[in-house]
Amino acid sequence: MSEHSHSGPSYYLIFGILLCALIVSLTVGAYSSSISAIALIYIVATMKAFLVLHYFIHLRLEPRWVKLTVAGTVAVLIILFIGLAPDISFVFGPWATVGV
Amino acid sequence: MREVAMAVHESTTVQYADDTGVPTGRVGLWWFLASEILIFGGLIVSYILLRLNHPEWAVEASHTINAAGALNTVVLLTSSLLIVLAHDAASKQQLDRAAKLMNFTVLLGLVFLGVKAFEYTHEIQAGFTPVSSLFWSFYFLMTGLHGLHVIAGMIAIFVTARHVKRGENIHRVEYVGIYWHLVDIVWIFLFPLLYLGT
Repeated sequence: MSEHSHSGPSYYLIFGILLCALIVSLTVGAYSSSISAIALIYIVATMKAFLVLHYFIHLRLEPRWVKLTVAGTVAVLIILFIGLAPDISFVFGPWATVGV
Repeated sequence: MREVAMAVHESTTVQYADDTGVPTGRVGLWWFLASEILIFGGLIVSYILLRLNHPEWAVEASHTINAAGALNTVVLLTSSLLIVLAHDAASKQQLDRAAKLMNFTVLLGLVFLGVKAFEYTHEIQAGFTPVSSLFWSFYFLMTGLHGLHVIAGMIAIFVTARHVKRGENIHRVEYVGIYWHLVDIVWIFLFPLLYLGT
């Protein structure tokens, strides 16, 4: 697909945005290790992944079942996170001493 | 506008083998990628949960080489740009250009692996091995598994580039490209998890 023929912005522009996002992550990571800084780094990473999915993989042009397949795997991962969180917290985290 | 974009998207001489209007190869590819997302996602979810409950891992993560991780991120992002441009060229029947861009992508894959080898050497010499601690187990498992995917992607792209140069299997440029982008996305998450925020 050409950057002129596809409906989104040019591939070079997306590449430039991805590099800028990397610089933001590196700068934030170098100067702060607070929870908000780490959260920002992960938000930027998620945004970068979205840009690659949307404009390089062209997920936006795929049929609905493909989008649902991807969304389904993400949903499974969220369920996995919620399901494992209490167990791991009881073994390693702040609740580890509960019941001892 | 969307219809025009769809038409261009479908213009890579693909074969439609079922009633859904979706090429069979792409159906298989997406199911494969879904399984890959679950494999890496499962590891990443486990790592995040354990990391949240082990603040001391930040000290261990500070021994990873940020500059090398950042360089590899730039390398993979650039390779993603090249492979999507190769797909663009293939859709316009510019087969030599497509093959050349794919070969450059393979070259960048080699650069990625070279940087990773440098990192592994440095870390192992410093005494950090897969059995040093749970953090390093995760580090070597996730980056090692990702490295194997990079190698697999390089082989697939190299073979496809040879076919494309002969005018064969042009639609596979898109398939190997999608796979390579997934490898890139996995690294986009591994980099902050293992290198930043320490």
